[in-house]
Amino acid sequence: MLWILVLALPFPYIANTAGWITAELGRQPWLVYGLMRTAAGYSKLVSAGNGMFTLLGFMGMYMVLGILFLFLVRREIEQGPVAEVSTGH
Amino acid sequence: MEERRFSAALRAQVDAGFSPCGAQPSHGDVNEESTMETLWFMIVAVMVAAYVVLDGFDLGAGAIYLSAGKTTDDRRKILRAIGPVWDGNEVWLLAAGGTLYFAFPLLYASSFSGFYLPLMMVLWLLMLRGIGIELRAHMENPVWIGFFDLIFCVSSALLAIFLGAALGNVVRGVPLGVDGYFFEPLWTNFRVGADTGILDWYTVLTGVIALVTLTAHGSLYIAVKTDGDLNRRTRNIAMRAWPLQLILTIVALIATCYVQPSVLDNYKQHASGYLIPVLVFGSLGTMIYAIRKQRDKLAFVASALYIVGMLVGAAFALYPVVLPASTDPVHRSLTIYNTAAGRHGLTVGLTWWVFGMILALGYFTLLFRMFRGKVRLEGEGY
Repeated sequence: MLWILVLALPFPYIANTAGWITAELGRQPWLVYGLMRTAAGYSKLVSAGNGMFTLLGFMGMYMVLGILFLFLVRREIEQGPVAEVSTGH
Repeated sequence: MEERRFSAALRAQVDAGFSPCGAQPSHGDVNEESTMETLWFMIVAVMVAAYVVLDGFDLGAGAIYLSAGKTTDDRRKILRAIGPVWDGNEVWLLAAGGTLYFAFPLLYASSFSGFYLPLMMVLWLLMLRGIGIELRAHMENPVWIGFFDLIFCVSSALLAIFLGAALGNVVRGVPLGVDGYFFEPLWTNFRVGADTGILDWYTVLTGVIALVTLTAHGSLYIAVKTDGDLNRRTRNIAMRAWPLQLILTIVALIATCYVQPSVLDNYKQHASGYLIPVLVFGSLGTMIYAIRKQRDKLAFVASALYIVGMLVGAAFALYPVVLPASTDPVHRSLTIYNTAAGRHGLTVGLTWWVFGMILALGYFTLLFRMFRGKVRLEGEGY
Protein backbone atom coordinates (compact mmCIF):
# COMPACT_ATOMS: atom_id res chain seq x y z
CA MET A 1 0.00 0.00 0.00
CA LEU A 2 3.07 2.22 0.21
CA TRP A 3 2.58 3.24 -3.43
CA ILE A 4 -0.20 5.58 -2.26
CA LEU A 5 2.52 7.69 -0.62
CA VAL A 6 4.12 8.15 -4.05
CA LEU A 7 0.80 9.45 -5.40
CA ALA A 8 0.80 11.97 -2.55
CA LEU A 9 3.97 13.56 -3.99
CA PRO A 10 2.38 16.64 -5.60
CA PHE A 11 0.15 17.48 -2.64
CA PRO A 12 2.56 19.73 -0.69
CA TYR A 13 3.13 21.85 -3.81
CA ILE A 14 -0.60 22.07 -4.46
CA ALA A 15 -1.27 23.01 -0.83
CA ASN A 16 1.45 25.65 -0.79
CA THR A 17 0.33 27.22 -4.07
CA ALA A 18 -3.33 27.07 -3.08
CA GLY A 19 -2.52 28.94 0.12
CA TRP A 20 -0.70 31.69 -1.76
CA ILE A 21 -3.45 31.97 -4.37
CA THR A 22 -6.03 32.27 -1.59
CA ALA A 23 -4.07 35.02 0.12
CA GLU A 24 -3.24 37.02 -2.99
CA LEU A 25 -6.64 36.69 -4.69
CA GLY A 26 -8.55 37.05 -1.46
CA ARG A 27 -6.97 40.40 -0.67
CA GLN A 28 -8.25 41.98 -3.92
CA PRO A 29 -9.16 44.74 -4.59
CA TRP A 30 -7.06 45.93 -1.64
CA LEU A 31 -3.30 46.18 -1.59
CA VAL A 32 -3.37 47.51 1.95
CA TYR A 33 -6.74 46.56 3.38
CA GLY A 34 -9.04 49.55 3.64
CA LEU A 35 -6.31 52.01 2.71
CA MET A 36 -4.97 51.41 -0.78
CA ARG A 37 -6.31 49.56 -3.76
CA THR A 38 -4.09 47.44 -6.01
CA ALA A 39 -4.98 49.70 -8.94
CA ALA A 40 -3.43 52.63 -7.07
CA GLY A 41 -0.27 50.79 -6.11
CA TYR A 42 1.59 50.15 -9.33
CA SER A 43 4.77 51.93 -10.37
CA LYS A 44 3.53 54.68 -12.66
CA LEU A 45 6.73 54.94 -14.65
CA VAL A 46 7.26 51.25 -15.41
CA SER A 47 5.51 50.67 -18.72
CA ALA A 48 3.30 47.68 -19.43
CA GLY A 49 5.87 46.43 -21.92
CA ASN A 50 8.55 46.26 -19.27
CA GLY A 51 6.17 44.47 -16.93
CA MET A 52 5.25 41.95 -19.59
CA PHE A 53 8.89 41.34 -20.52
CA THR A 54 9.90 40.60 -16.96
CA LEU A 55 6.78 38.55 -16.27
CA LEU A 56 7.48 36.35 -19.29
CA GLY A 57 11.13 36.21 -18.30
CA PHE A 58 10.27 34.92 -14.84
CA MET A 59 7.68 32.48 -16.15
CA GLY A 60 10.18 31.12 -18.64
CA MET A 61 12.93 30.78 -16.07
CA TYR A 62 10.66 29.09 -13.54
CA MET A 63 9.33 26.73 -16.20
CA VAL A 64 12.84 25.68 -17.18
CA LEU A 65 13.78 25.25 -13.53
CA GLY A 66 10.61 23.25 -12.87
CA ILE A 67 11.32 20.89 -15.75
CA LEU A 68 14.92 20.54 -14.59
CA PHE A 69 13.72 19.79 -11.08
CA LEU A 70 11.28 17.11 -12.26
CA PHE A 71 14.01 15.59 -14.41
CA LEU A 72 16.50 15.43 -11.53
CA VAL A 73 13.96 14.13 -9.01
CA ARG A 74 12.93 11.40 -11.46
CA ARG A 75 16.59 10.38 -11.81
CA GLU A 76 16.99 10.22 -8.05
CA ILE A 77 13.87 8.11 -7.61
CA GLU A 78 14.89 5.80 -10.44
CA GLN A 79 18.31 5.25 -8.88
CA GLY A 80 16.62 4.04 -5.72
CA PRO A 81 18.01 4.12 -2.20
CA VAL A 82 21.80 4.19 -1.80
CA ALA A 83 23.08 0.94 -0.31
CA GLU A 84 24.18 1.34 3.30
CA VAL A 85 27.96 1.03 3.66
CA SER A 86 28.66 -1.04 6.74
CA THR A 87 31.13 0.76 8.98
CA GLY A 88 32.04 -2.43 10.81
CA HIS A 89 31.88 -1.56 14.50
CA MET B 1 -1.88 58.55 16.87
CA GLU B 2 1.24 58.25 14.74
CA GLU B 3 -0.59 55.55 12.74
CA ARG B 4 -3.55 57.80 12.00
CA ARG B 5 -1.28 60.59 10.80
CA PHE B 6 0.57 58.10 8.65
CA SER B 7 -2.56 56.70 7.04
CA ALA B 8 -3.91 60.19 6.43
CA ALA B 9 -0.64 61.05 4.78
CA LEU B 10 -0.87 57.84 2.76
CA ARG B 11 -4.35 58.77 1.54
CA ALA B 12 -3.13 62.22 0.70
CA GLN B 13 -0.27 60.66 -1.25
CA VAL B 14 -2.64 58.41 -3.18
CA ASP B 15 -4.89 61.35 -3.98
CA ALA B 16 -2.03 63.61 -4.91
CA GLY B 17 -0.57 60.99 -7.22
CA PHE B 18 2.47 60.07 -5.13
CA SER B 19 4.25 63.30 -4.66
CA PRO B 20 6.91 62.50 -2.07
CA CYS B 21 8.02 66.03 -1.43
CA GLY B 22 4.51 67.45 -1.25
CA ALA B 23 2.42 65.05 0.77
CA GLN B 24 4.91 64.18 3.50
CA PRO B 25 3.90 64.79 7.09
CA SER B 26 5.97 67.71 8.22
CA HIS B 27 9.02 66.21 9.81
CA GLY B 28 12.53 66.04 8.55
CA ASP B 29 12.99 69.70 7.85
CA VAL B 30 16.64 70.31 7.18
CA ASN B 31 16.93 72.52 10.22
CA GLU B 32 15.23 70.01 12.50
CA GLU B 33 17.20 67.45 14.39
CA SER B 34 17.82 64.53 12.09
CA THR B 35 19.94 62.08 14.03
CA MET B 36 17.49 59.23 13.40
CA GLU B 37 17.60 59.69 9.64
CA THR B 38 21.36 60.10 9.68
CA LEU B 39 21.74 57.01 11.84
CA TRP B 40 19.68 54.95 9.43
CA PHE B 41 21.64 56.35 6.49
CA MET B 42 24.78 55.02 8.14
CA ILE B 43 23.10 51.69 8.93
CA VAL B 44 22.06 51.19 5.30
CA ALA B 45 25.56 52.12 4.13
CA VAL B 46 27.12 49.64 6.57
CA MET B 47 24.79 46.86 5.46
CA VAL B 48 25.52 47.50 1.79
CA ALA B 49 29.24 47.44 2.60
CA ALA B 50 28.79 44.16 4.51
CA TYR B 51 27.06 42.66 1.49
CA VAL B 52 29.78 43.70 -0.94
CA VAL B 53 32.57 42.44 1.32
CA LEU B 54 30.84 39.09 1.92
CA ASP B 55 29.14 38.21 -1.36
CA GLY B 56 31.92 40.04 -3.19
CA PHE B 57 34.29 37.17 -2.65
CA ASP B 58 31.67 34.68 -3.86
CA LEU B 59 31.23 36.74 -7.03
CA GLY B 60 34.98 37.09 -7.38
CA ALA B 61 35.47 33.36 -6.93
CA GLY B 62 32.90 32.83 -9.66
CA ALA B 63 34.59 35.33 -11.96
CA ILE B 64 37.97 33.52 -11.72
CA TYR B 65 36.37 30.07 -11.62
CA LEU B 66 37.06 29.06 -15.20
CA SER B 67 40.55 30.55 -15.41
CA ALA B 68 41.93 29.60 -12.00
CA GLY B 69 40.10 26.29 -11.87
CA LYS B 70 42.06 24.32 -14.42
CA THR B 71 41.13 20.82 -13.24
CA THR B 72 37.91 19.34 -11.93
CA ASP B 73 39.51 19.08 -8.50
CA ASP B 74 40.43 22.76 -8.58
CA ARG B 75 36.90 23.73 -9.47
CA ARG B 76 35.49 21.50 -6.75
CA LYS B 77 37.84 23.17 -4.27
CA ILE B 78 36.68 26.64 -5.29
CA LEU B 79 33.06 25.54 -4.90
CA ARG B 80 33.83 24.02 -1.52
CA ALA B 81 35.54 27.23 -0.43
CA ILE B 82 32.42 29.33 -1.04
CA GLY B 83 29.93 26.49 -0.64
CA PRO B 84 28.89 26.79 3.01
CA VAL B 85 28.79 30.58 3.00
CA TRP B 86 27.59 31.92 -0.33
CA ASP B 87 23.88 31.66 0.43
CA GLY B 88 24.16 33.44 3.76
CA ASN B 89 26.34 36.11 2.18
CA GLU B 90 23.73 36.75 -0.50
CA VAL B 91 21.09 37.31 2.16
CA TRP B 92 22.94 40.50 3.18
CA LEU B 93 21.71 41.95 -0.13
CA LEU B 94 18.15 41.27 0.96
CA ALA B 95 18.90 42.62 4.41
CA ALA B 96 20.36 45.81 2.97
CA GLY B 97 17.44 46.16 0.55
CA GLY B 98 14.97 45.49 3.30
CA THR B 99 16.61 48.05 5.57
CA LEU B 100 16.55 50.55 2.71
CA TYR B 101 12.84 49.84 2.21
CA PHE B 102 12.21 50.23 5.92
CA ALA B 103 14.16 53.40 6.54
CA PHE B 104 13.79 55.26 3.24
CA PRO B 105 10.62 53.89 1.60
CA LEU B 106 10.30 56.70 -0.94
CA LEU B 107 13.88 56.17 -2.10
CA TYR B 108 13.09 52.46 -2.44
CA ALA B 109 9.94 53.27 -4.42
CA SER B 110 11.66 55.71 -6.73
CA SER B 111 14.89 53.82 -7.34
CA PHE B 112 13.41 50.35 -7.72
CA SER B 113 10.94 51.65 -10.29
CA GLY B 114 13.53 53.71 -12.10
CA PHE B 115 16.08 50.92 -12.20
CA TYR B 116 13.42 48.31 -12.96
CA LEU B 117 15.02 46.45 -15.85
CA PRO B 118 18.57 46.29 -14.46
CA LEU B 119 17.16 45.17 -11.11
CA MET B 120 15.28 42.35 -12.79
CA MET B 121 18.46 41.37 -14.60
CA VAL B 122 20.36 41.37 -11.31
CA LEU B 123 17.63 39.15 -9.88
CA TRP B 124 17.92 36.70 -12.75
CA LEU B 125 21.71 36.70 -12.52
CA LEU B 126 21.49 35.94 -8.80
CA MET B 127 19.21 33.01 -9.58
CA LEU B 128 21.56 31.76 -12.28
CA ARG B 129 24.58 32.06 -9.98
CA GLY B 130 22.89 29.89 -7.37
CA ILE B 131 21.68 27.40 -9.96
CA GLY B 132 25.17 27.14 -11.41
CA ILE B 133 26.63 26.21 -8.03
CA GLU B 134 23.96 23.84 -6.82
CA LEU B 135 22.94 21.89 -9.90
CA ARG B 136 26.45 21.30 -11.15
CA ALA B 137 27.23 18.06 -9.38
CA HIS B 138 23.89 16.35 -9.89
CA MET B 139 24.94 14.51 -13.01
CA GLU B 140 28.25 12.97 -14.03
CA ASN B 141 27.78 14.26 -17.57
CA PRO B 142 30.60 16.58 -18.79
CA VAL B 143 28.18 18.62 -20.92
CA TRP B 144 25.97 19.17 -17.90
CA ILE B 145 28.89 20.08 -15.66
CA GLY B 146 30.48 22.35 -18.26
CA PHE B 147 27.18 24.14 -18.87
CA PHE B 148 26.59 24.94 -15.22
CA ASP B 149 30.25 25.90 -14.76
CA LEU B 150 29.81 28.47 -17.51
CA ILE B 151 26.56 29.78 -16.03
CA PHE B 152 28.19 30.17 -12.62
CA CYS B 153 31.23 32.00 -13.99
CA VAL B 154 29.44 34.34 -16.38
CA SER B 155 26.62 35.25 -13.99
CA SER B 156 29.09 36.01 -11.19
CA ALA B 157 31.16 38.28 -13.43
CA LEU B 158 28.09 40.05 -14.82
CA LEU B 159 26.75 40.56 -11.30
CA ALA B 160 29.97 42.29 -10.28
CA ILE B 161 29.71 44.63 -13.28
CA PHE B 162 26.02 45.35 -12.69
CA LEU B 163 26.51 46.14 -9.02
CA GLY B 164 29.33 48.51 -9.88
CA ALA B 165 27.19 50.19 -12.52
CA ALA B 166 24.38 50.53 -9.97
CA LEU B 167 26.68 52.40 -7.59
CA GLY B 168 27.82 54.56 -10.48
CA ASN B 169 24.21 55.46 -11.24
CA VAL B 170 23.56 56.45 -7.64
CA VAL B 171 26.62 58.69 -7.51
CA ARG B 172 26.16 60.24 -10.94
CA GLY B 173 22.52 61.03 -10.40
CA VAL B 174 19.40 60.15 -12.31
CA PRO B 175 16.82 62.23 -14.21
CA LEU B 176 14.31 62.64 -11.38
CA GLY B 177 10.97 64.23 -12.12
CA VAL B 178 9.20 66.72 -9.90
CA ASP B 179 7.27 63.93 -8.20
CA GLY B 180 10.47 62.15 -7.23
CA TYR B 181 10.18 59.36 -9.77
CA PHE B 182 12.21 58.51 -12.84
CA PHE B 183 12.70 55.75 -15.36
CA GLU B 184 16.05 55.19 -17.00
CA PRO B 185 16.48 53.27 -20.24
CA LEU B 186 19.34 50.83 -20.37
CA TRP B 187 21.46 53.26 -22.38
CA THR B 188 20.94 56.43 -24.38
CA ASN B 189 24.09 57.88 -25.89
CA PHE B 190 26.67 56.69 -23.29
CA ARG B 191 27.33 60.34 -22.42
CA VAL B 192 26.85 61.84 -19.00
CA GLY B 193 24.59 64.83 -19.36
CA ALA B 194 20.93 65.60 -19.23
CA ASP B 195 19.68 62.41 -20.83
CA THR B 196 21.45 59.54 -19.11
CA GLY B 197 20.84 55.83 -19.39
CA ILE B 198 21.77 53.13 -16.92
CA LEU B 199 24.94 52.54 -18.92
CA ASP B 200 27.14 55.42 -19.91
CA TRP B 201 30.91 55.75 -19.89
CA TYR B 202 30.96 56.57 -16.18
CA THR B 203 28.82 53.68 -14.99
CA VAL B 204 30.65 51.29 -17.30
CA LEU B 205 33.86 52.51 -15.63
CA THR B 206 32.44 51.86 -12.16
CA GLY B 207 31.24 48.46 -13.36
CA VAL B 208 34.72 47.55 -14.57
CA ILE B 209 36.36 48.71 -11.36
CA ALA B 210 33.86 46.63 -9.39
CA LEU B 211 34.71 43.59 -11.50
CA VAL B 212 38.45 44.07 -10.99
CA THR B 213 38.05 44.71 -7.26
CA LEU B 214 35.82 41.71 -6.67
CA THR B 215 38.02 39.49 -8.83
CA ALA B 216 40.99 40.36 -6.62
CA HIS B 217 38.86 39.98 -3.48
CA GLY B 218 37.56 36.57 -4.54
CA SER B 219 41.02 35.39 -5.61
CA LEU B 220 42.45 36.31 -2.23
CA TYR B 221 39.65 34.44 -0.46
CA ILE B 222 40.33 31.32 -2.53
CA ALA B 223 44.03 31.74 -1.80
CA VAL B 224 43.26 31.78 1.94
CA LYS B 225 41.08 28.68 1.68
CA THR B 226 43.29 26.51 -0.51
CA ASP B 227 46.88 25.40 -0.78
CA GLY B 228 49.15 24.09 -3.48
CA ASP B 229 48.65 25.01 -7.10
CA LEU B 230 45.32 26.73 -6.65
CA ASN B 231 46.68 28.88 -3.84
CA ARG B 232 49.60 29.95 -5.99
CA ARG B 233 47.46 30.61 -9.05
CA THR B 234 44.85 32.73 -7.29
CA ARG B 235 47.49 34.78 -5.51
CA ASN B 236 49.01 35.44 -8.93
CA ILE B 237 45.67 36.62 -10.26
CA ALA B 238 45.35 39.06 -7.35
CA MET B 239 48.92 40.25 -7.92
CA ARG B 240 48.29 40.91 -11.59
CA ALA B 241 44.95 42.61 -10.89
CA TRP B 242 46.51 44.99 -8.38
CA PRO B 243 48.09 47.56 -10.75
CA LEU B 244 44.82 47.68 -12.67
CA GLN B 245 42.96 48.19 -9.40
CA LEU B 246 45.25 51.06 -8.40
CA ILE B 247 44.98 52.83 -11.74
CA LEU B 248 41.22 52.36 -11.94
CA THR B 249 40.76 53.68 -8.39
CA ILE B 250 42.55 56.90 -9.29
CA VAL B 251 40.72 57.19 -12.62
CA ALA B 252 37.38 56.53 -10.92
CA LEU B 253 38.03 59.19 -8.28
CA ILE B 254 38.88 61.77 -10.93
CA ALA B 255 35.92 60.75 -13.09
CA THR B 256 33.57 60.99 -10.09
CA CYS B 257 34.72 64.51 -9.30
CA TYR B 258 34.15 65.44 -12.93
CA VAL B 259 30.71 63.82 -13.23
CA GLN B 260 29.38 64.88 -9.83
CA PRO B 261 31.32 67.94 -8.61
CA SER B 262 29.43 68.08 -5.33
CA VAL B 263 31.08 64.90 -4.04
CA LEU B 264 33.93 66.91 -2.59
CA ASP B 265 31.73 69.28 -0.57
CA ASN B 266 31.38 67.04 2.46
CA TYR B 267 35.11 66.35 2.45
CA LYS B 268 35.92 70.03 2.41
CA GLN B 269 33.51 70.74 5.25
CA HIS B 270 34.58 67.84 7.46
CA ALA B 271 38.30 67.23 7.21
CA SER B 272 37.94 63.92 9.06
CA GLY B 273 36.60 62.56 5.78
CA TYR B 274 40.12 62.56 4.39
CA LEU B 275 40.79 59.52 6.56
CA ILE B 276 38.77 57.57 4.00
CA PRO B 277 41.16 58.01 1.04
CA VAL B 278 43.95 57.22 3.52
CA LEU B 279 42.14 53.96 4.30
CA VAL B 280 41.61 53.21 0.61
CA PHE B 281 45.20 53.73 -0.48
CA GLY B 282 46.56 52.27 2.74
CA SER B 283 44.66 49.05 2.13
CA LEU B 284 45.82 48.97 -1.48
CA GLY B 285 49.40 49.26 -0.27
CA THR B 286 48.88 46.58 2.39
CA MET B 287 47.32 44.31 -0.24
CA ILE B 288 50.33 44.27 -2.54
CA TYR B 289 52.73 43.98 0.40
CA ALA B 290 50.81 41.00 1.80
CA ILE B 291 50.50 39.36 -1.62
CA ARG B 292 54.26 39.63 -2.15
CA LYS B 293 54.95 38.22 1.30
CA GLN B 294 52.41 35.43 0.68
CA ARG B 295 50.41 36.47 3.74
CA ASP B 296 47.02 35.59 2.27
CA LYS B 297 44.82 36.38 5.26
CA LEU B 298 46.30 39.86 5.62
CA ALA B 299 45.81 40.47 1.90
CA PHE B 300 42.19 39.40 2.11
CA VAL B 301 41.50 41.65 5.11
CA ALA B 302 43.19 44.53 3.29
CA SER B 303 41.00 43.89 0.25
CA ALA B 304 37.90 43.92 2.47
CA LEU B 305 39.03 47.21 4.01
CA TYR B 306 39.59 48.66 0.54
CA ILE B 307 36.00 47.83 -0.41
CA VAL B 308 34.69 49.28 2.86
CA GLY B 309 36.76 52.42 2.27
CA MET B 310 35.44 52.94 -1.23
CA LEU B 311 31.80 52.44 -0.22
CA VAL B 312 32.02 54.53 2.94
CA GLY B 313 33.74 57.20 0.87
CA ALA B 314 30.85 57.22 -1.57
CA ALA B 315 28.30 57.36 1.25
CA PHE B 316 30.24 60.16 2.96
CA ALA B 317 30.34 62.11 -0.27
CA LEU B 318 26.63 61.67 -0.96
CA TYR B 319 25.24 62.50 2.49
CA PRO B 320 22.52 63.74 3.04
CA VAL B 321 21.47 63.16 -0.55
CA VAL B 322 20.53 59.54 -1.25
CA LEU B 323 19.79 59.86 -4.96
CA PRO B 324 21.01 62.97 -6.75
CA ALA B 325 18.90 64.44 -9.53
CA SER B 326 20.74 65.19 -12.73
CA THR B 327 17.78 67.31 -13.85
CA ASP B 328 17.64 69.70 -10.90
CA PRO B 329 20.18 68.84 -8.21
CA VAL B 330 19.06 71.46 -5.72
CA HIS B 331 15.32 70.89 -5.65
CA ARG B 332 14.64 67.42 -6.94
CA SER B 333 17.34 65.29 -5.33
CA LEU B 334 16.11 62.66 -2.95
CA THR B 335 17.61 63.22 0.48
CA ILE B 336 17.29 61.48 3.80
CA TYR B 337 14.88 64.23 4.76
CA ASN B 338 12.29 63.79 2.05
CA THR B 339 12.42 59.99 1.80
CA ALA B 340 12.71 58.78 5.38
CA ALA B 341 9.96 56.89 7.17
CA GLY B 342 8.27 58.34 10.23
CA ARG B 343 10.32 59.03 13.34
CA HIS B 344 8.36 56.60 15.52
CA GLY B 345 8.80 53.77 13.04
CA LEU B 346 12.51 54.40 12.75
CA THR B 347 12.92 54.29 16.52
CA VAL B 348 11.05 51.03 16.93
CA GLY B 349 12.98 49.59 14.02
CA LEU B 350 16.27 50.49 15.61
CA THR B 351 15.54 48.29 18.62
CA TRP B 352 14.72 45.32 16.43
CA TRP B 353 17.70 46.02 14.15
CA VAL B 354 20.05 45.72 17.10
CA PHE B 355 18.59 42.33 18.08
CA GLY B 356 18.68 41.15 14.49
CA MET B 357 22.25 42.29 13.99
CA ILE B 358 23.43 40.54 17.15
CA LEU B 359 21.82 37.30 15.89
CA ALA B 360 23.26 37.75 12.41
CA LEU B 361 26.78 38.52 13.62
CA GLY B 362 26.66 35.60 16.04
CA TYR B 363 25.53 33.25 13.33
CA PHE B 364 28.15 34.43 10.84
CA THR B 365 30.93 34.13 13.39
CA LEU B 366 29.81 30.58 14.16
CA LEU B 367 29.59 29.74 10.46
CA PHE B 368 33.03 31.01 9.49
CA ARG B 369 34.65 29.42 12.53
CA MET B 370 32.99 26.10 11.74
CA PHE B 371 34.37 26.09 8.21
CA ARG B 372 37.76 27.63 8.88
CA GLY B 373 40.89 26.19 7.39
CA LYS B 374 41.83 24.93 3.97
CA VAL B 375 39.26 23.02 1.94
CA ARG B 376 39.62 19.28 1.58
CA LEU B 377 38.19 17.17 -1.19
CA GLU B 378 37.07 14.19 0.89
CA GLY B 379 33.57 13.49 2.04
CA GLU B 380 30.19 14.54 0.74
CA GLY B 381 29.77 17.84 -1.01
CA TYR B 382 30.33 19.72 -4.22
